[in-house]
Amino acid sequence: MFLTYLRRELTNRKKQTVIIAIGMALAIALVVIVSSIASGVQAAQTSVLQSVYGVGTDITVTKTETPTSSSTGRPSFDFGSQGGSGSSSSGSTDLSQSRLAVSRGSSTLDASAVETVTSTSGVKAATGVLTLENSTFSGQVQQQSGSSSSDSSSSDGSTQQGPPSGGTGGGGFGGGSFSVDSFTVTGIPVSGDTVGPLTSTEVTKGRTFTSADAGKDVVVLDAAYAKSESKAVGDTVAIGGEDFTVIGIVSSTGSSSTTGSNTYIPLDTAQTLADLDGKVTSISVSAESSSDVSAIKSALQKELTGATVSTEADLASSVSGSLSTASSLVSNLGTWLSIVVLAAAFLIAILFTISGVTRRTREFGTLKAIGWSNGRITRQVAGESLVQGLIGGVIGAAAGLVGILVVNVIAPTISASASSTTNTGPGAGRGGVPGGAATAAAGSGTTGGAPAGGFGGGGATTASTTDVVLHAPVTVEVILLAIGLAILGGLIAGALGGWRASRLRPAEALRSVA
Amino acid sequence: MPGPTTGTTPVPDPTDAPDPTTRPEGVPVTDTDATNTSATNTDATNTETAASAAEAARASRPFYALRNVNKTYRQKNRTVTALTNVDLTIPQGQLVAIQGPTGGGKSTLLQMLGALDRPSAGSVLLGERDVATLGDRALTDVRATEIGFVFQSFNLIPTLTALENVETAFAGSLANRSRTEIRDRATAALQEVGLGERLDHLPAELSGGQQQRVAIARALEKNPSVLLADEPTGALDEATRDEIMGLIEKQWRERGLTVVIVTHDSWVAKRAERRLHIKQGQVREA
Repeated sequence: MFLTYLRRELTNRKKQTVIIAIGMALAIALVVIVSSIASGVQAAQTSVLQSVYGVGTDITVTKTETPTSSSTGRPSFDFGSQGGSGSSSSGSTDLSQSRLAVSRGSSTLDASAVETVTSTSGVKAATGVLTLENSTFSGQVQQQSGSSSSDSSSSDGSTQQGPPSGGTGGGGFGGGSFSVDSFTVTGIPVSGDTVGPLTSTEVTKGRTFTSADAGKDVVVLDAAYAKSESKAVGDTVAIGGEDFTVIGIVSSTGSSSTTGSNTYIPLDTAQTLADLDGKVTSISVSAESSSDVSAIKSALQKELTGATVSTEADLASSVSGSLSTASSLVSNLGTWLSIVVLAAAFLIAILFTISGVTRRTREFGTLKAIGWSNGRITRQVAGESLVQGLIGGVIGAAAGLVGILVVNVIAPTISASASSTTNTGPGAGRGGVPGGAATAAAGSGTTGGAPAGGFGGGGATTASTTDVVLHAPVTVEVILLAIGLAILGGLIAGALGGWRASRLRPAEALRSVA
Repeated sequence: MPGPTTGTTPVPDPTDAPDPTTRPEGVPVTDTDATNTSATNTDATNTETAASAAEAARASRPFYALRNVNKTYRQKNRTVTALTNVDLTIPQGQLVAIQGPTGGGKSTLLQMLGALDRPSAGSVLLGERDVATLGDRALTDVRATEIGFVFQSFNLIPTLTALENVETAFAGSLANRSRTEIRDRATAALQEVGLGERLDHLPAELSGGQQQRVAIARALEKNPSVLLADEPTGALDEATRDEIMGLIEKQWRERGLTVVIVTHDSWVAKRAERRLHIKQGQVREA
């Protein structure tokens, strides 16, 4: 009878069942998605810190770009009169140029700073690295006879950095295609340091650097970057106009993150190529003991004026960018939204159950009059609520799983900047993202390169920006939590409804309500 | 169940007991000549229409004995007296009609008889059990096993089919029966009231008369001692009223039931063996 009655009530009072179930489903789905994303974001954050600073880095020393050096590091392209790699054929001109410079927003430290750091008391090891950004502009412009404005390609705000100009014989552009590709290049010591970016990576193919690689044009690629560029060990990669041979591929030891840089080359090669002899952009420092960290920080701050000295704790709190936004979104808005929606769903379930009991006063009174015990009626009401909650819970968990699936299929790339330098660029030049460099193909008009969104290199990526693909994990705990909450909601509503039903007097049955 | 609970008003009239060995202690035995078993203020008529087959059953069935029953309610800040010093005995197997104006105490009296509520003072003996002293659980069991209820608005569960509505009657100690037995008995009960073809109909798909038949089947299929009917024909047209009354009378005769009908309808009341009138909380013979 219990099940028959339950089934009949749920199917014949569909409206109530549907409302309670939908409310519960919405809340449960939200809880499932928020919990899952929260754990994904947490994993990403850990991963980011490791990939940016390496494992075992206690302190980093960087230098922020000073306002007076605003032009430093900004990629500019100068094609001159068929300069560089421009070529012309049958009415169109191919242009290609590559440059290697320090990312905007960061500045260089003298390599002697590494010595200073190493000699500081309590420092176990220090490694100076030079993080650069390689920007390649390549494109084809078509010559067109007739009049054309000479500034036809400068409609984009970013062209101040060096729009393609000249070189076309004044014929103007009748359309063309441009692609600006940029990736990060980290010059690291080849001596196998115990601290620094490569310590959080593992070699998946080929090999890492040896002392013999010093000064050579060899490169180790980030696995994700290698995949996106279809590069394998033995292939060549153009960096700063030179061809580098790929000797190895590394991937992050963190689960879903890319490594801190797209490419790694010997430090001295990088310094020569970027014309930055004796310069580094950051120094990774490991302390003898974790208790020394703050003392080392103070010492370094005195020694290295103008440099930014950050401890691991500073770094963790300095994680910025969309990961940081996602993190605070999940932890604040997501959690509160879940709580509010959950509370609302519980309230809906409770109110509907109680109003249902009130509406069924005569029904329950009748059942009591014909001998149903309070317990049996309470169980019946509670059973109905529980099943309504469970239906909502199951639908909600399923919807939540679909939501998680969508998140994982979209696999949003979250960029995290864990540096004190500012990230001011338009951001199109995220290294490592296939096609992340602006590519425009214009079939008409004269603004071939206009939508390039800042010409790639213009996007100021700091030395310590990394991209993390957000993966929202589905855990048994999350599913159990969802079902548990649904049961809890059903039970609370059912208990209150049942309590109310049990308080009804059997004499209510005699009320002659037609 | 033990004999009368201590502290309650004893059943007053010693009666002739044809077979004392089968008579529960404290429960006077009735026979067709109910005159000498009637209550102090009643004048029961003979149940000449009762079939002799039912007489044996009646001998062991309970009857009502109300002694000095008072019922008051608190309503906001005032006390409302619903029943005043009611003394009433209803012999086993009697068909009693209760009439009276609205607010006169009919419903309250029915609540006492149906073990739906306890008196504020006095005792309500139902067979050998005193409703006044029973706990909630025991009252529930009395309702589940002894009393069949029929209501003016039928009070069927709207989401359940006719058959399932009848099955709800298996409550209390009867709920433990096997599913098959419950289903078979409910089916038989519906067939008995002429609804064998309507087992799977929802109440909304049945006419008023048919719904009341389902309600009667629900009330009787647990084989109660007493059938209490609150305006059972109040929501029915004349033809259906006759039909339903015919059905109730048939069951009364065949089962030897005690039947108490609260009604406004004089036609219905006239068909009863005995008519009581309740006004301002006081019961008198009509």
